Amino acid sequence: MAEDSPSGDAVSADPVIPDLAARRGHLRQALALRATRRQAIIGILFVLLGFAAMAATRAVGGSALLATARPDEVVRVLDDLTERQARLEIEQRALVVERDRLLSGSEEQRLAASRARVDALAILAGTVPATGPGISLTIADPNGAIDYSVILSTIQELRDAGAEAISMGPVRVVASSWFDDVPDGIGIVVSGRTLLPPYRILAIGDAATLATAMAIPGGVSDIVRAAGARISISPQAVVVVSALQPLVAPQYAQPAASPGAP
Amino acid sequence: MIAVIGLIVGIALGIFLQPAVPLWLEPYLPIAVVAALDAVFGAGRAILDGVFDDHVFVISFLSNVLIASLLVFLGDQLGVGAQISTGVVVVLAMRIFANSAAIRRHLFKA
Repeated sequence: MAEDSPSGDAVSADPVIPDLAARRGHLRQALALRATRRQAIIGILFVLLGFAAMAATRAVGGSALLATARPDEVVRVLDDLTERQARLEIEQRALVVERDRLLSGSEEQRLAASRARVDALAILAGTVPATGPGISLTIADPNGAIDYSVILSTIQELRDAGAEAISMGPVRVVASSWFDDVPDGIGIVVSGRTLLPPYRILAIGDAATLATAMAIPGGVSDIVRAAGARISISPQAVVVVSALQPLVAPQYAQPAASPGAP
Repeated sequence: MIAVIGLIVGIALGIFLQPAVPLWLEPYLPIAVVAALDAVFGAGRAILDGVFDDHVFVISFLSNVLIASLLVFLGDQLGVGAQISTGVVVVLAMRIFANSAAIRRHLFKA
């Protein structure tokens, strides 16, 4: 294909081999630099050959390893990787254990966790002021048409909607809060304090959810309006529930060790 | 002479430009290089035999590269690309060895 001369090892037996000097002559002639078109074409071909050879070398040396590797080589590489992964997993497990030990052992970490717990409980118990997004709810009831059950429904509805801190007028509404009617007259009794309309309820939680919960058909708004009172709901970016519930030490109940607690 | 200069220039270009081989060309480039090498060795032998013709060389160079690449392409389409590349490389390598043996005998009488 390359040349029309015969190929193979039998060439040396060719009887028409020219003598050495003639061969040197051919060589010299071939090596001579002549500026012909064909010489230029040959030069270009060799430039291409060198360029392609370098490019191919570079391509094989790079990421093409897996593409050109034989199956058993690939299997070996995979085995190596699996083994290495197993070692790294063991190391990872040890490091995770170490990290957990450091985290739980850290005094600061435990202190921070305790502080967060205290904050959550204080907001729940109503012993600290709370702030956050929420709604402001005002029920204007000049005729005394609203009784405590409506207010109680409102509070329940707010809790259902995820309210985390609720106050009614100057009273913080907590787990132990109770509601009653004023025996003869206008007003509501909340945890022993008599409140007169208009009743102002503040609730911290997702403002949109709380407002929606108040406005559902047949819900608080409809009940209040049906009773002849007015209700206004305004979602607010920041609501401050500053009313506090005094902390009363339980007289009978004692904390019992719970199996889940640390 | 022009061949040596061209080869050096090509290698230098390849080293300094660091060409990125397009993906579709990647299987064919090594085969094409080996085929071209076969043509080059054939030419070297023809020079020593005194029957070198640059026209024949250019044609054989190009047809070698083309046919080798076509074979591999065909093999790829048939799903035997790896085997056909191996076969082409083996054949070309045998030819290169045969030609280099002839060149060696011409130059060193051995």
